[in-house]
Amino acid sequence: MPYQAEISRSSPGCILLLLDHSLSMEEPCKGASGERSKAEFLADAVSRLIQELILRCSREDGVRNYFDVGVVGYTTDNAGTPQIYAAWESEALQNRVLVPLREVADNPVRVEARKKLIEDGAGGVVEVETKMPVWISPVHVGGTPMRAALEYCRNIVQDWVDQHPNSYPPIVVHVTDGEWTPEEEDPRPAADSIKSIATSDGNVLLYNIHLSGEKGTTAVAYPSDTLQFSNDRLALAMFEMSSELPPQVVEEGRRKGFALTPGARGMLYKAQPQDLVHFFDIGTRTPTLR
Amino acid sequence: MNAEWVIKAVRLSKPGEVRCDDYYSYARYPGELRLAVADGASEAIYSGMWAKLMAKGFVRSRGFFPYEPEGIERFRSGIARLWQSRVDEKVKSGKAPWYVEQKVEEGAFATLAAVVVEEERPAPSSRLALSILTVGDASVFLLEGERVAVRQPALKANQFGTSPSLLPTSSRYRNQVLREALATTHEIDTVGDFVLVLCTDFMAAWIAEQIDSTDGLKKVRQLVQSSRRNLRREIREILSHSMRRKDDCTLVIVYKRYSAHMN
Repeated sequence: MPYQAEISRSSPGCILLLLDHSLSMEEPCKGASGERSKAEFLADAVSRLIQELILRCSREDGVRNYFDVGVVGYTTDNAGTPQIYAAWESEALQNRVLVPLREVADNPVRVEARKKLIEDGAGGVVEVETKMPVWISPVHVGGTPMRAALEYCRNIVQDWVDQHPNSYPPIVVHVTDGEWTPEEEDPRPAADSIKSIATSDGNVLLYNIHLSGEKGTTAVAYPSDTLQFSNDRLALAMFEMSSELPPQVVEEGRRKGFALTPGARGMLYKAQPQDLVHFFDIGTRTPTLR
Repeated sequence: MNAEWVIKAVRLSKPGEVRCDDYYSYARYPGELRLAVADGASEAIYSGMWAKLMAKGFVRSRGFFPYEPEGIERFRSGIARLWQSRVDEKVKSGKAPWYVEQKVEEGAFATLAAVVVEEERPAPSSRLALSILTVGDASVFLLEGERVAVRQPALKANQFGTSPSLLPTSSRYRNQVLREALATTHEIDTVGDFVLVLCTDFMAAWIAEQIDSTDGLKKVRQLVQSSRRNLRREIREILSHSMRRKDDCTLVIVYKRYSAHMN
């Protein structure tokens, strides 16, 4: 059975986040914390995902290198040339794509004080101050060279798999808010190429999230067929680009209350900011860490 | 006939690890034997300390057994304050990384199996009263001859280790746990052949598997009769040959040994 490999320090996992940094990410959308740009919500959600991952992998002896983590941003320059880069902001991580988790933990660009609501154990909630480490900043400029970005990721992932042929396969989560740059070629072959890379435990998992700025839309979440969006060209393309969730992830998602069916794809379409956080939680679930 | 308690205990960290987040403790008082095992959730921080404080705290609480949720909560909150003060000493220096502070805010978690064995009055009596508290999948088995008289919690082998209830240090998470804690009382007839076993989930799953197999208690009996020296080796064998996920491993075996006594 694929997707069973135990993740350990000697056999780590890999999570690569591919983020659309194009100009349209400037559009505002409304989340629980008010109205902000899609880029701001995305940057926050990514930092929160990394924070959760680090907390999941922290023990008394420190953060264990159970994962190599990467954040890649993509846009174009004034001439329309694709710009694809490691998005870490801290000096220690700059220009490196995949970084062992402990180094990520030790190098946020800053740690902010935030408020959060927690249950008080007696049926109520209380507001407490908490520390929020930040690794990336919001970016919104230029075009959407999706194919070139996916090709860049394919090379990163291929190198990692060559070094970890028996590990749990890499998880690539791609977040965008729209269509690829019109002059560019269709990104689907590049997505297929990523999904064709495999370790002995299974093929690389590529998930796609489409962020929506429209208020009140309901996301198409984890579809197992195209019935809901058969006339939507972009949704169909994203469906084709997205891997099926492994059965264990489907099970975990169901336990958390998501209506996931066998064959569900790792895809959100017209997602709101809060959907993004849930998706990161479900999509990056992996087997036991030891 | 004269009877003495025999207590054998083994605590092993999972293969390849030095740290062990399991703990056991026991103490004999006049008319009362107290035992506990606890398994700290290694995904949390300072859970080994939490497990140790709980096991020791229970064993030192002579004359106490929490039959009701309120009693369990009193016990939990008292030990949690102790845990917090010890952790604060380590963390509040201001030098701890952000993730250590956040893990400490979430608190530590552990399963617990705790037992009080009391001699019934008037002594000498052939009967013992047994009170058992379990939270999560740390387990207690009472074997009487070829019969399993008590199996608490009553789980099948494949149910161990999958998201058990955990006693938390933080009161935020206490409610559900207190609902799921199991406190029971039983009697042991010491005229018969009995063995009491407390263990954390790995060995509990193994014992449950044996009990539910066609061989029944044969291998469990062999294990409990092992000498102290061999017991450790045999558990290591079980650990290395098991198809289950490797884990820390703690087992406490208790029975009475009778000997002819000449005045």
